[in-house]
Amino acid sequence: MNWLTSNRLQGWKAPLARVASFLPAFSALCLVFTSALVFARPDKDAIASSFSIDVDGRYDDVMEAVNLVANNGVIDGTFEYKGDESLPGAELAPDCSMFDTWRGPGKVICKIRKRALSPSHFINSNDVGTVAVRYIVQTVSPTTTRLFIDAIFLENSHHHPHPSDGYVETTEFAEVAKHLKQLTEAHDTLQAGYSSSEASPRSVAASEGAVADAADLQKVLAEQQAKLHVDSQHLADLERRLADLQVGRKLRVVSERGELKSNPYSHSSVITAVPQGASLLVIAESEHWYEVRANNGKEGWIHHSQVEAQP
Amino acid sequence: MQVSDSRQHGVSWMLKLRAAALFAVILFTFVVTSSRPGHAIPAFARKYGLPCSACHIGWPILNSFGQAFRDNGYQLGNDRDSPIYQNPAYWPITFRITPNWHRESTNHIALDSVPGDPTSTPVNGTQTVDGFDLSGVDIWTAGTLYKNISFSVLPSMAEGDTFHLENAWVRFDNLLNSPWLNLKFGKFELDTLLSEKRFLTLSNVGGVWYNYHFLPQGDINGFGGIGDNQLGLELAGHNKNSYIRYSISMLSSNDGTPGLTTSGQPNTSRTYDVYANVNYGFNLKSAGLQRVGLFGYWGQSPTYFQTSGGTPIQAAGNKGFSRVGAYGWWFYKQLDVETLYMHGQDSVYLGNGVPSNDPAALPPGAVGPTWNGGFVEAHYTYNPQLIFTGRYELVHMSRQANPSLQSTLGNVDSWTIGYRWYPIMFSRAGLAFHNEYSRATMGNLGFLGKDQTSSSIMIGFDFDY
Repeated sequence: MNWLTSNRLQGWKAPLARVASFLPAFSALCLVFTSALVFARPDKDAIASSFSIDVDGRYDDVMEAVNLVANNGVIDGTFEYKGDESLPGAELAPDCSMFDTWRGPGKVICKIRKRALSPSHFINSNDVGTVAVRYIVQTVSPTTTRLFIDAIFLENSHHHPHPSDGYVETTEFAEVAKHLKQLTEAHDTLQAGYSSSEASPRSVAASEGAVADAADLQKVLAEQQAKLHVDSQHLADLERRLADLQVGRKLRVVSERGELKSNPYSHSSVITAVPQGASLLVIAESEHWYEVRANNGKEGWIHHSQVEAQP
Repeated sequence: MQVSDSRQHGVSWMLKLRAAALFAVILFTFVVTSSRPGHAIPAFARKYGLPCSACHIGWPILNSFGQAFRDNGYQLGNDRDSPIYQNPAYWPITFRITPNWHRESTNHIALDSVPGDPTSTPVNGTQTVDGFDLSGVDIWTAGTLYKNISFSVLPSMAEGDTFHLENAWVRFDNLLNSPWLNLKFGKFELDTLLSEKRFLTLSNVGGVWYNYHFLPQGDINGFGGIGDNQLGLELAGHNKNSYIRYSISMLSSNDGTPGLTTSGQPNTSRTYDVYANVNYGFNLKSAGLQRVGLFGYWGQSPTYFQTSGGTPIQAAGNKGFSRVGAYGWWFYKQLDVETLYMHGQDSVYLGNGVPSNDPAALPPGAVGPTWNGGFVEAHYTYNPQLIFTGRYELVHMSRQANPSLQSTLGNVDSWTIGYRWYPIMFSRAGLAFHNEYSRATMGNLGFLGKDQTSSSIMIGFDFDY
């Protein structure tokens, strides 16, 4: 007897046909589940040095630019809250323990921001943790400096590392490049001035005919120095006027409980509380914060929303 | 001819298998390559402009910060809580529903041999249905009424039902400026880290933790289980990061049903239950935070009612029951595993369905039924937008209410596998493609005392807005 024609198995055809109707969905479910477990690998394996560049600049200049960025109190290229553009409250870290120990040449500097909440631009960012940025500065030649920048987010609870998608490093580098440009320009200006004053006597010694040129150059230098003096006086005047506008203004606390913070960031520590109605003297002002002095002499930062101008 | 038909049938099978394999490969490739980091879920993500990953391992499971945020009365504890940061158009409300296709099957059912004739000799049969369907809809609103006063209201309705309030409570947070003192009042979920309201399975068979709802066969206890929201008052507290938490609740003995109702009878609620939970989080060096906890529910349920003109007016003969257990939530890299053990016991009167004023009605050898149960449930978070889950759960009777009952009657053995893929997860909306298979076997509940097995396959889109 052909087993395919047996009555007993004929009776199985209907249930089997029914099974077939949902087989694609069920097999898909099983295959996806098992395949993903076999092939899926955690993203932490992807952690690597993510940004490096050879910069046209002296080591000292690059180092100074990196130091300025490392101490600027924010981490650029990432944020917690929609609408923000950076992560405030960053600080220079005493060590770079969140990264593997760097054994290569160069100077290592780290900046961290603790208690960051699922910061953007870190792969699969989740929960609360610490964002760290590491800069490594190496000398390549007298005029070329190599800079490495790495950024990582490490969850507090499960220690999951989340590497940056690269945006943090490139944005931080843009800040470094901005400072470096300013430093280089200042350096070039100084160098030009120094060269001018140094070159003229040499020209005189080299050629009697160059005396007139030297005199012309000295005349130009004198004119430039005079202009610089006038501009400096103008700048000082503007700064004095700005200070006059800012300092001496009085504010009144409108929140039920105002807080003077050590730095102009929400996460900064509270120096002292100031009661509603208290008067504060403005020392300086930023976009969202006033630096103020309270009646008890304590100075700190208070958010614009907590005060109003005193008539 | 038969052979030829069979060959055609075989070819058809091969085609179906190939189609299944191709479909699976395409789906797998699509799912894995399309997964990107999550961004937000509606209710609080909108309020704070935070990504969903701030609070969720994967919606709806809370991560460590999400638990702390919830414990802190839905407040971040910084100036972002201040109304000046809120968009005036913000409205803290979320809708959730799951259109789906599902297939349900149950075997060993007593079928009438003559359809429509209940007097005909029953025969063993299987019931199988499948088709497109809708889940119930949840309309959840929650947030803060004022600094340190939070609330939640969750009207819920299934197709054809009237709305009921799944929860509705107000909570006074950080009393005396201490996170250890928070008072909740209303109808709420019993405090536990392993929340049935936040798990990943939705099908008819796999959409419950059986331990949280189990009752022995013949038991008349009105308590719906640890998984049911209850009416009452909760005192809770936690340390700063919510690694250490406690709660103790006083609850009406009516399984969270409004109207001073007990076991479906109106105006009869009159006793109170107690629920307590403690949990502790600790760090394992490389794996990070691990959590363990203990819980217990001690309650009463009526065994009969005082009546007036035959109408029940007051529950009476209340007898005790308890549920106690321990749990752990273990994390290692992308894998987290939830484990639970629970022991339950009901009074001899509840277990045998006998009014306590009629002890003579107890069957010979009657005792209070006891049982033990537990589950192991694992989640593998490939990334916040793709989570796989699997669970094995059992509840086994350790002592039946009387010797006439089979020792395995009502035992539950169940397992579930599935995954959720979140193709979008923004501050306005979230969408999960949900795929699940669940199976549960109930001891001796089928035709002629056979074990009865039910299974569910569910494919759906779980979304909230």
